[in-house]
Amino acid sequence: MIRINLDKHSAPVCDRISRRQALSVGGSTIMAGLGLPQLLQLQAETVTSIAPQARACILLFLEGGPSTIDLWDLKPQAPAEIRGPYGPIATSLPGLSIGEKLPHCAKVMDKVTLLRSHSHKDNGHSTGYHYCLTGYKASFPDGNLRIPNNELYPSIGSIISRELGLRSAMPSYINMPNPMAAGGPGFYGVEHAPFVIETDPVQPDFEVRDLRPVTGVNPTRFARRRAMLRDIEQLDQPAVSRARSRTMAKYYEKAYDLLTSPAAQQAFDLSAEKQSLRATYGYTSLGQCSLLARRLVEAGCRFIGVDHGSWDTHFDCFPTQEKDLFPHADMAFSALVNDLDERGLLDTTLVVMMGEMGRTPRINARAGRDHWSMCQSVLFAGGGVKRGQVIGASDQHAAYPTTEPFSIEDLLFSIFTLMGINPKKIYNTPLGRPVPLVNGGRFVTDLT
Amino acid sequence: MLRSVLSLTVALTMAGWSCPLTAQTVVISELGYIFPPGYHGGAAVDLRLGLYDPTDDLQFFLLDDSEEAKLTLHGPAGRLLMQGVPYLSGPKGYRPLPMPRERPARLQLPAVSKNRMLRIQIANANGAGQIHRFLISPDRAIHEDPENSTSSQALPALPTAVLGCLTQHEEVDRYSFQADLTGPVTARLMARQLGAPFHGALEAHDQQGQLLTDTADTTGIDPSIAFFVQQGEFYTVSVRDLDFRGHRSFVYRLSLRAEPHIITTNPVVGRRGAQLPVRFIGYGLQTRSMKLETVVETITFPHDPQVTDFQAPLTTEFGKTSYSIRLDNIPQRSYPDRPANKAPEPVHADTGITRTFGANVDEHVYILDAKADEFWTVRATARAVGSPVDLALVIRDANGETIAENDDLPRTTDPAIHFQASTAGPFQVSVRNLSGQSGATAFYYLELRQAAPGFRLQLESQQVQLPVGETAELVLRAQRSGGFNGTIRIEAKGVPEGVTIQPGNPFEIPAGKNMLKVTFACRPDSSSQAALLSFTGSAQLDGVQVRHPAWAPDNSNLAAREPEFTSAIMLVRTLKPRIKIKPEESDERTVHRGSTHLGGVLFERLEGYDGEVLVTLSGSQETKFRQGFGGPDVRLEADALHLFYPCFLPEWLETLDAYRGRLNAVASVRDGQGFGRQLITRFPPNTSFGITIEGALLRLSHQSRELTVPRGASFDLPIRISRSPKLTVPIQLQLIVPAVLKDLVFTNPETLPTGKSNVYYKIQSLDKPALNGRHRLTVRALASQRSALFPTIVDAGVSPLDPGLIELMKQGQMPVMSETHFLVHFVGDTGPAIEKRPERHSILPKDL
Repeated sequence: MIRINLDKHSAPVCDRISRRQALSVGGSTIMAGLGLPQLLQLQAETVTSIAPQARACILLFLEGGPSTIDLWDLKPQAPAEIRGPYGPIATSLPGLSIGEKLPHCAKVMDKVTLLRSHSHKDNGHSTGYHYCLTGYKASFPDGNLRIPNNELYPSIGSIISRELGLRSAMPSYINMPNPMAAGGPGFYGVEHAPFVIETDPVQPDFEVRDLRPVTGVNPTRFARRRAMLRDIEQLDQPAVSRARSRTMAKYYEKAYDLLTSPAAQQAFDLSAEKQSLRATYGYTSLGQCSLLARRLVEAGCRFIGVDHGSWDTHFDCFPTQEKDLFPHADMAFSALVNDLDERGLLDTTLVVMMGEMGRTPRINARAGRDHWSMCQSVLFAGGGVKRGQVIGASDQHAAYPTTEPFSIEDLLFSIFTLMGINPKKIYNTPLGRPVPLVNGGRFVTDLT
Repeated sequence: MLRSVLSLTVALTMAGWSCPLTAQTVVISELGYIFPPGYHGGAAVDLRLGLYDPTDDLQFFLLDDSEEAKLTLHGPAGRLLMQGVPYLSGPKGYRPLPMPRERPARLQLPAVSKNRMLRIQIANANGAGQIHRFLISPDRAIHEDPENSTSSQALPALPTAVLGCLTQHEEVDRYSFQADLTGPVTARLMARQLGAPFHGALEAHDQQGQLLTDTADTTGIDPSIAFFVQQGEFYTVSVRDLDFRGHRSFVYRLSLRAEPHIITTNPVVGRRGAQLPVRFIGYGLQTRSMKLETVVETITFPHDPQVTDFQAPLTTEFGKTSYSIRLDNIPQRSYPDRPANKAPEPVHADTGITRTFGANVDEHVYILDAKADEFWTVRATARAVGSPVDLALVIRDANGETIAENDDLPRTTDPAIHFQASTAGPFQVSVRNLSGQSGATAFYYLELRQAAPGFRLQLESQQVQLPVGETAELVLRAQRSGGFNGTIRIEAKGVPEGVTIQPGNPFEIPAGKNMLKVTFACRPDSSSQAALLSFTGSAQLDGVQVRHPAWAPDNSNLAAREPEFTSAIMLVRTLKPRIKIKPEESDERTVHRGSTHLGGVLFERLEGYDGEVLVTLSGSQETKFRQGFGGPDVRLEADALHLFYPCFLPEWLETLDAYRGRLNAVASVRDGQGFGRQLITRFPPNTSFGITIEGALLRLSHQSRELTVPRGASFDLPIRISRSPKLTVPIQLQLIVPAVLKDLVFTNPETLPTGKSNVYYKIQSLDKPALNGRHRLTVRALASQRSALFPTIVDAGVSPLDPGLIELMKQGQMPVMSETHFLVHFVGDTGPAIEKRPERHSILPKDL
């Protein structure tokens, strides 16, 4: 239920109407494009409950921009400098062909919805990342390397964390192996920040450093330390320090929960998996992250964002694509879909694979493809998504959608809806500015 | 796979384009730094010459007064020196400074009575580097203690100077001294003046750690600070880069003197033979407040026309000091205390004026009474005399019409105008302040001179790159003044055999002409050695033969207040490149930490060259080169056009972003006179090996804390080996010990088969006193797979890789490596090895 705040400090979660919101009839929220009537309407809509179809979501984010014309939407009739070197192969979905470098994915396309008409206009890496993960255009120029770069708008993982909360002792929102560039909690605050494993699961001695007990500190000592820290935080402190203590306390609590949870320890223990299954995912960063993501879903995580870089292939792109990028994604995605399906988890786990942009249809003079966001493909599997279908189509060069294009807002709207979250729900920033979970958007037609 | 490659090739060809090797990038060797960056005159000093991409056949030139100084090289260049920890990430780390190779040398210096810069330049058959500088000073300086990275280094009594280097990122060099006297101390940093490419920051702290003053070089001019000290107290001055970067080229000279910090005088120029009240402006002149203060002292300037600068003495309450004042023959006028006056000031011919801009005044106007056809030179200087003001000059005629204006002369913000009065009458000379600054420090110096007939010769470049067998042009300009319009006869000296000049030597700039293109022609059988030239121009001026050298720009002073020039011209005879080199793939490949990636390299042979090529890591890398990316020296066999280069990526690399690296190709040839030359080319711009890092294949770890081991005992180190299922070969364990423990601590090489993940590694020691103390030992696990693609590894002394890795690669093995480090405390008694926990000092309860 929506709560509106009258507290003059305007906490992010509100239960009364604030003075600022009351004044917004006079236009103070015009900048946000919402007057009080619309605001109340939107807030009322948030009461609507949606039956969730997905209990968890795994986002495989191919940072840099994967090439749809080489992967999912081949154009064998296009000129050589556009179609590239790859031919199509048949898939388990009758009538659907995808790129020949995706033999494993070809076998699971009957379990997948392939959206071929995703389109937006942000051709920057950091800005595109921000747009994809928050649903809002970045206010900074491309090239911002700060992580997280979403200081205001919360990421999809933070929204899911806030809306659905914990399902177990596991953090509801996890990033791996690195923090996602726009994966921060924005104005939601640290309690909805991702837990970042900060190490690569493909490494043979993989363990999550933060879950390792300090050598020589037994449970009794650990409990004593925790109690002492709590006492210190109760001491009289200046306001600034108190606020900092509160923030840190939230981090500590998250850490304690993890450290003391056998389920968490177990979930991160990749060595418990059969070698044959690990090999199916591929001994790559993306493969082992995907496998770990499945384990985390089983343990109760709500949203796992896997950051996989290097898809920004401007020069000599084909060796890189066919030796590294495509096989890694091919094995990881197909193994994840199959594994979830075999465990009966696919229907309740939404898997999405996408990038922040795509690549130009025309191969450039240095045998690479440059940035192109106007036509991309997104893969959906599980979580209530229809099995085995293609949505949308592109023109003869895979340059523009020829059917209804679906935007970032549409994707986020659909993901939230599938997870039982009302995408129109609004929270106020600390300054009282109303921010809907999704800035517009609609459900992707025929997705379910 | 093969089909894909073929189809792409066909596709690209059909589309009418291809991916040829782009234009070769010739590598010009540079002298990046010299350490120490200066030394006292009359002595010999051992140097490290920091060279970027040097060849074995480099020539070294001392440009000015070379007969007084002598450089002797002591051995070849060492290996590439990679930047050590801490590493920069993010934007700061995107554009790394080059990796140098250091060459030992000795420099014999002449005695000097004041600071003097020695200019040094290097050249080879690829081209000539930029000029570098070395300070010869009359004062001795001490060296930074290279072993001291934590505490401040104690300095002797002031005055003193220290020669140092900010080698690593985040490095802060601290120097402490005890004040002999109560009074002001001035610290001056000389870094950019020495060609060091960093912006310095200075701080002074007292012995309680209280910050007294600080400053940072935000304008590219080396900083100075002044602070007040109490006799007997200790003080610390620290030096760092503004951005906390470090590099071996960040060399500096820090001088500390117990004296006030004078920033200027008024007038800024003294008239020879005159006795004038001179206002000294600076810090610590009158009080202890260290605010800007002034003191007036009557100064008698020397008559001697040979003396160009005079050290004007100043005695204050806090001691004696002096300040260098330029000398001139023209009368000097100053406006020390007058309020803002916007009325035009009449001035006479040949006058120097020192003046400051008051608040809300951005223009001073002077009335110059010139006769028709007279030639005048009006020059306004601020930057050149240490003022922050940015000036512009405007000359208007009697009707207020602008007849000439100038904002900046080339390579400075100071303006000057040469003009001829078309009619008699008053002219307005307007000096405008574009900086918005005002007050005592917003000063300038204005010279108005009736120009005498004369000329100045200037070359557009200090270098002539002359390909052997071809021609090259050099533009020579004559700046005529005072109505001189006659012929200027030019004579070139030092032209080497095999090179001719068109239109001959000597040659002339004809009357009325201001520019001449000089063409150098080099015979095909000429040597490719570089040589220093000079040009001298002579002309008849009022019946007198006048000679002037031709000047070329010298940009080696990175903090130059006015353009600097040299008369030494570098003629470098170059040979055409023989090799084009480029990566086969320039986009990112995924590589596991601690493993080796074979990157394909394509070569194109030029000029019929079919010999061997040495392939090395390039010292000059492009964006996103990260420290740690390494590779061996590799030989491309005669006639070959392709090889796989082993890129080794250590296990500690970050997985967040890409790593990029590029290579050099070195072809050895003989020139027309039989001299052996090395020709270097590297990957074209924007091409590189692009590598994304994933988790390691092999990991080594141990749980031991510090071990206490009796000398002569053996001990077992429990080690855990984790390996990826992708790594299916045996693993060798090696012990790496510090040089001081060589032959004192040892072990037998151990090979671990697949499947063995825990081992007690037996380490033995000898009972030698040299073992005593704490030592950091390393256990290295090496796995390697033979690769048929491996190239021929050689050791040309360039590669920065560990020798052990190079040896492995020489055997055709692709190394996978992991290391773990542990501390051992060797003690004199015998007995069993004891695992000892480090001592803890804590205020907390023992069992918390």
